Amino acid sequence: MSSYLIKRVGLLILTLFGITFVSFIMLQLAPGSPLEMKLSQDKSGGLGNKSVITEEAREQLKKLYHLDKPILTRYALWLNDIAHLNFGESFTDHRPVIEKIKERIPISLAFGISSIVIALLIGIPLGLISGAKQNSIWDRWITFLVIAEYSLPSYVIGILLLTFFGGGDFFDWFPIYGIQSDSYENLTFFAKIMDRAHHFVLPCICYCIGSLAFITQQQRASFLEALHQDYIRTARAKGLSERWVLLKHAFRNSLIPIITIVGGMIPGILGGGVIIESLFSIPGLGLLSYESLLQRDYPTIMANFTISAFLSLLGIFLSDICYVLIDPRIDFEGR
Amino acid sequence: MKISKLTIISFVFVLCFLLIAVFAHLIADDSKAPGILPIVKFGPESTDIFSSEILGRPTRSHWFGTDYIGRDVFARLVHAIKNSLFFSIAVVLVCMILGVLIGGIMGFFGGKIDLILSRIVEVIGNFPIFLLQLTLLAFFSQNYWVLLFVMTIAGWIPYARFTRAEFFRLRNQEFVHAAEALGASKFRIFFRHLLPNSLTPILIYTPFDLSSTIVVLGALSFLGFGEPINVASLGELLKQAKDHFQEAWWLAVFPGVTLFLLTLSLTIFGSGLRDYLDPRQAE
Amino acid sequence: MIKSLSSYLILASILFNFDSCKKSAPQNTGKTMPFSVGVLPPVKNDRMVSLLPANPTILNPILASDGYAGEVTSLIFDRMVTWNVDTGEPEPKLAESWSVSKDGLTYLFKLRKNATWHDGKPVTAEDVKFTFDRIKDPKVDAAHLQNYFSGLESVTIKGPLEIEFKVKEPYFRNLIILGDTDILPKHIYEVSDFNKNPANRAPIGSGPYQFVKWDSGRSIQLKRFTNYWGNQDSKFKDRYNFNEILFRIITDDAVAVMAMKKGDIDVIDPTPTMFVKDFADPIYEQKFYKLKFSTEDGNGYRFIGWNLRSPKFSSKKIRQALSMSLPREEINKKVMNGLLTLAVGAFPQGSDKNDPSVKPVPYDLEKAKALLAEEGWKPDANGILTKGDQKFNFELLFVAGVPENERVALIYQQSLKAIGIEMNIKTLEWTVFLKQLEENSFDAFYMAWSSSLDSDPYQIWHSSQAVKGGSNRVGFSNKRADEILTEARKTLDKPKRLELYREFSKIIADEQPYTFVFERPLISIIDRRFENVLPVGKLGLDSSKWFTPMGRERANLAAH
Repeated sequence: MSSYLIKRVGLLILTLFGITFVSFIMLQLAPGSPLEMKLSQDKSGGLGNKSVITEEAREQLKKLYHLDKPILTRYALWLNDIAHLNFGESFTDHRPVIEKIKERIPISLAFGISSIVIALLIGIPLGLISGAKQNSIWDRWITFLVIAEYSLPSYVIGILLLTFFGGGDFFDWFPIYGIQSDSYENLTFFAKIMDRAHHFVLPCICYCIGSLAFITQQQRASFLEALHQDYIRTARAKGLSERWVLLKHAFRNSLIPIITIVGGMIPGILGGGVIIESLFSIPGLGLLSYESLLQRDYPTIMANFTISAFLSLLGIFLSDICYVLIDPRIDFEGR
Repeated sequence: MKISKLTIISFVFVLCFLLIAVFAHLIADDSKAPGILPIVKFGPESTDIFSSEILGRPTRSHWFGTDYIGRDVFARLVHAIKNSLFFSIAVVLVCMILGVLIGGIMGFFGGKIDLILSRIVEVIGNFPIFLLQLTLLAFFSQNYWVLLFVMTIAGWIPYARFTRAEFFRLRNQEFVHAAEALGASKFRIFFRHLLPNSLTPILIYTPFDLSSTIVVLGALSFLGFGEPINVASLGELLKQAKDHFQEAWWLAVFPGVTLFLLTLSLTIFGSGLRDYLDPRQAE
Repeated sequence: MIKSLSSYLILASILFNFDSCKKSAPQNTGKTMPFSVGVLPPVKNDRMVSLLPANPTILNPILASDGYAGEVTSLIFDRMVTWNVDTGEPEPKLAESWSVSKDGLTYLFKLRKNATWHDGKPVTAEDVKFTFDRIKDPKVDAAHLQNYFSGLESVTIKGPLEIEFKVKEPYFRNLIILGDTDILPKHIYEVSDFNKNPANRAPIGSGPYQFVKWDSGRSIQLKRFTNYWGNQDSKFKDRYNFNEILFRIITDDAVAVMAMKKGDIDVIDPTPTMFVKDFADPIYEQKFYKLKFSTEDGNGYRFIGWNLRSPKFSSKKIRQALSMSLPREEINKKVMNGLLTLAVGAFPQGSDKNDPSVKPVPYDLEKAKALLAEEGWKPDANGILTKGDQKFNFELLFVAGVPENERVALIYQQSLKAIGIEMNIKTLEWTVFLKQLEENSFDAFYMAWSSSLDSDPYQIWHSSQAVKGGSNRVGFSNKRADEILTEARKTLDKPKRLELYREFSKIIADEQPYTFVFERPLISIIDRRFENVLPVGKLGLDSSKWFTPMGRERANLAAH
């Protein structure tokens, strides 16, 4: 087991290294730079008595942002900082990048985890029903509805939800922006939780949309597969009750593939949040990355890429470990 | 195994969309080329600010109304189906070829090559990919090559994974050993024996991939990062619909229903195909 | 599909919910002002909520390079001089008086005695000097500002409350540059690296409002500074009537509109489309002030810039023909409900800086064709304009994401097609766009200039600015125009300067280095619970004068 772990951790670090290298080079070679951003002042250009921006001013700015060294040297320096857990300093507000991320990560994770949990809570039972009553009317309807819902892009669903349940033209049931009310600080502990939950409803539905269909279909398939395994036949032959067979053996074993899927869903949640976050004005990691991209705030973007990649690798790593621990048939030494 | 009615209906739908795409210029066009008599005499881009109505309701001449600069929505929709479908098919094909080749190499050779390529698959597979796509599209000007590149960066990964797994499974089967014993070249074993026998999961995955490619393409155009702005696309029409939510329902209804039907029929067709081809999942 | 359904239902809801909507609208408002100022007294305990469409990067007026930060910091920091919104004349603010030497090279400001920072320390000349020193400090990340202050020679403290500026040359905007700069407290910002100072996120100033809290990405909260010197000053006593100002950050336009309609926001700076479409219903006329106004300097203008260095656009006749091919009047009428004003040149329509003879270029395809033919561009068998074996085609660059710009470009493309010119459209992201302009690799670009108090056109049109890093990106060069621009800078006498600018405006109108499209409109939507919003002053809106009459406070409305 330990040698397997060491190997896995080694590969994880190697992968992380690859991700950072590729994104660093790509980012800095892409057209446009923080210099133009800074020197242009505002989007439409101001009329004043601005004179020509000299080459000297440009060089000075380059030095300020440490962009005057060759690109590979910069990468080496960046890597050295990361090794000391220093993510550098943002170009836009000169704060340590890690502080900006610390502000945002709990919000993104809260949405990500709660939406995965909700999707699991809905998707697993649906998949079970679908699988247990294969080809029944239940199965057909669940499959059809789940596929239909999957065919609707989340941005479309978001606008629909906002208009119907928050806009006030129809129902004014849910808040349409942010994560908490203005009066949040003065609320009791219980009221605080309710207030947060109230704000979470609409965005969470959007987050769930993508994963729900996936989980339901996967659960259905793996449940069906489990039903046809030898040990289920044996259990049935032994005369155990059908319900007991389904619940105890088939259900438990069909959960194993779901665990791997959950690990794989993390990058989607961290990166794919951009649209939902900007629609609902949620100050999460996705919106921060997107804004930093447009502002060419290299250190913040790099930190975002690194941390998102790390978290998703960690997710996969942990789900693999769970997989190994749960399923004794898998021989981890051989992998 | 019987093919369900739903699968057949969805297949008919897919076929219809393909026909619309292929014959888009016969359905709606404003060019005066001889020999072509389109059903609707508006092109996807033609407008004249003086004579067309801006955001006009559906009428006898403009079946689906007009858009925010007076273009015919029906013509735009027909060409949007063509552009979205053809481009998505191109993306899926490129991803498939790339994925099958790389996955095949990994499964065929195994060992170090597999280890290195697996790292690359893992690197790309763990990237916050939508962000990366937005980055690239934002930084480069909008054209089809950039879009194709952006869509394929991560798109080939599932194909590679499927092919690799199939190759690993088939590698030690009797018929492969037999072919080797008979002195077949590696090239021949790869393409004649292993590849044809490992296509099932790929075939199953393709309709789903096509439908999600169409959705992602729609999302990118919806955000303003997709196709060039004068090109008709489903996402672009939906974006207009968002901007003119209250006054032009026809901008939302027709493209919205089209996108929904297109992806839905592809997905249902895909599930039908899976049930038919993969006996492990359906009895 | 989602949209489809919802818009059907929205239509239905407008029909069915009409009555309930009416009820929910405040009944005491109407097109006429329901309260006269004398009847209901203003309350001073209300909260005003403004919209910010993005999280500001930093709340330091020197370091911030986005426009959003300025909306917040302008309330926290005070300036030495203010410009009276009604008269347009400079008035004392932090400085109680100032004088200018005869040669126009020395400015002496005397600061107010009773002005204090939010932490209680007095405002002194040291602070003013510190502020200007930091702007010019190369270690400070303010490259975007440093340029504007290049004409400043020295800053000298003459006494605890007296400060003297020496400038390199006389210039009519000198007072604006010196007086209209946010002053920062030295004792707060000198303690650490200026760029990284903690006060950059929790600013301390001397303005009418003090910082309370910034929930990153969600809101910024300010409260009234009770020891503000203006509270005792006869001129400012009745200003700044809100106890609290909250900036709400909402990143999606459509959601911002919903929030405004629900009453979560009091003030919004709408896009033209929002103004004419989203708030078109007469219900909103009763609920909100929908203001469109004009000012002396306008709000800038949108234009298509032609690369004058390229042989295709070097001739004046061709540029005139291209300007005539853009159906601006029709676009405005049909697409923007006539909200916009056609731009005529470097200055807004109706400005004293324009010669009366300068009128919008009319749409005239026939004349355009004739002008192009004079320059040798004639249609071939397929109707494509050609000269020798060359076809008339070019590429228009613009920044992606603004539907109003896309419309103009797409309609222009079709219009040019009718006279045989092929225009390709290329949309780019902002910094990439700027880079292309800087590298001079463009045919034409679509952009906007914003204007500021008493704008100086020198930056855009003088031939010395037509180099890398300058703002004369089209490469305009005209000897007489150069003379006028140089002369006008030194002319401190306003009537004389206006005369020079009028001559300049004729040159620009004739040369058409830009095709001037629309003026950027000055529009605003404000909740009718505020009073004293009207009339709009010479320089625009002045929110410091607004107040809530008793009974219309936010808390009261919520209780209903």
